Amino acid sequence: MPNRYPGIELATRIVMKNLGIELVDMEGASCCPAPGAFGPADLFTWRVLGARNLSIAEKKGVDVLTVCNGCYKTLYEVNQDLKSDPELRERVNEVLRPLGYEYNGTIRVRHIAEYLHRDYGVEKLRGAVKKPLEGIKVAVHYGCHLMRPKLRRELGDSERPHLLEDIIEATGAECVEYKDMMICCGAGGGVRSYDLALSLTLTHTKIKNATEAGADCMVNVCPFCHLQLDRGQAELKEQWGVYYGLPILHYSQLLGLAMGIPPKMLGFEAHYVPVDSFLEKLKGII
Amino acid sequence: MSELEQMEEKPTQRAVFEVIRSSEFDPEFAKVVASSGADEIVQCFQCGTCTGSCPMGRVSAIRTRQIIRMAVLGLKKVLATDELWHCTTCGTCYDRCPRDLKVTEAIVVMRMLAVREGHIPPNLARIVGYVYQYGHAVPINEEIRNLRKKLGLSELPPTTHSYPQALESVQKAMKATSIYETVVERGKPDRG
Repeated sequence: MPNRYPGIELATRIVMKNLGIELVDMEGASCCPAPGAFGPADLFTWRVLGARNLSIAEKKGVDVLTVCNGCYKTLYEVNQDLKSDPELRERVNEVLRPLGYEYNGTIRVRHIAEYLHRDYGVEKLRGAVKKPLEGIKVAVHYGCHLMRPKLRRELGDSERPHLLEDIIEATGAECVEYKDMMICCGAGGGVRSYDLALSLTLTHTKIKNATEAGADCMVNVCPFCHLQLDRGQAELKEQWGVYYGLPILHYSQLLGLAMGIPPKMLGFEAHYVPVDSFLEKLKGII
Repeated sequence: MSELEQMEEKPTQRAVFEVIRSSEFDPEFAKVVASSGADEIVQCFQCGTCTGSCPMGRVSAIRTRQIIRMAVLGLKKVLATDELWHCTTCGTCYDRCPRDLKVTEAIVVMRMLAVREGHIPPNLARIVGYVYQYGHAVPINEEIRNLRKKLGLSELPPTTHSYPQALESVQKAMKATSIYETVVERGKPDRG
């Protein structure tokens, strides 16, 4: 997120400040590391580096908040694995202790979407919206690792969830149903870097279906999905000669607009698909 | 000509009847898969819900049920297949498995075993190399540095990018496990 879409970082920082939630930086944190793109290289190392990141937050005595499904999967599941398996925790700590880190299992890992939904509350969120995005049609993209695997989450049904719809509709926007809404963006599991053309087939399906359903934009909660859905449209144009131009927004950016934060502070210039037409639609609102 | 012979005449059907000889079964491999975190897949009753649910299966030759079956039988050649790397780990098969088997996790375990056998996709080596070198799978670039400054963010995020000592601890951790030797070193020629 900070190295490709800094606008998502800034939007998150501003939005959370406005909601009265203090964010604390995890100085010296590394990549989570990526569950699908890094994990298969060695699952033990994946857990060691994940635990190192968790220990930084533990030292500060704060829970971890992510704005990314991939980080959520890694940090949530590593936390879960190490909390429940003392032997594994010890093996991980044997690597970390000489480096000045120790995992103790004292904190929780949260995703901004489920945090806002379950802890902050949808009604309160609606109250924080200054410019309701009325008339805006949003295609929801959950991504995979927020809700799945459901047996390793506590967020309920992953087939027809409503968690994101609830917090998106709190902004005043309307969610539109589209075919294959719950499928992957195509990027996960390292597929984007393993076989770009293959990954783009899923991206195309999603973007096409959302466009046909009349969406004004697609909202995600993961910078990696964001990259695939946004840059992927430029790649589809280049490689397949098809272009949809569907603006892609991270939820923090959408909420930012609804809170009246000027678009120029939301980092849209890093986007491959221009959001100008979308902002044009918001003209009377923001 | 019997019905079976007629079907075998059609080239498209031939692959369906690929003969697998029991001499190809490697019980040791099946044990390694089981002991590496995919022990429960022996319970798979081959219903095919995974394959039917797989979004990538619509566009790729990946057949999740087949991957699981090959692992259970001890068919080590599954590790050399391209399709093993087509899974986006979306978890739909895991969520829909009537036996609640951790299907997606089993695939990741098999990828890890493939890496240990030397089947290291260049992209995996590159990403692990980036994490070793920068602490990030996606390191910063000049353009984003400028955008961060323009937005009023710190030019570098408060991560390993800003703390060299923290990066060093990541590198030491990676050297303390097997990953440096198996992936970073071996993967180097492919890094671009």
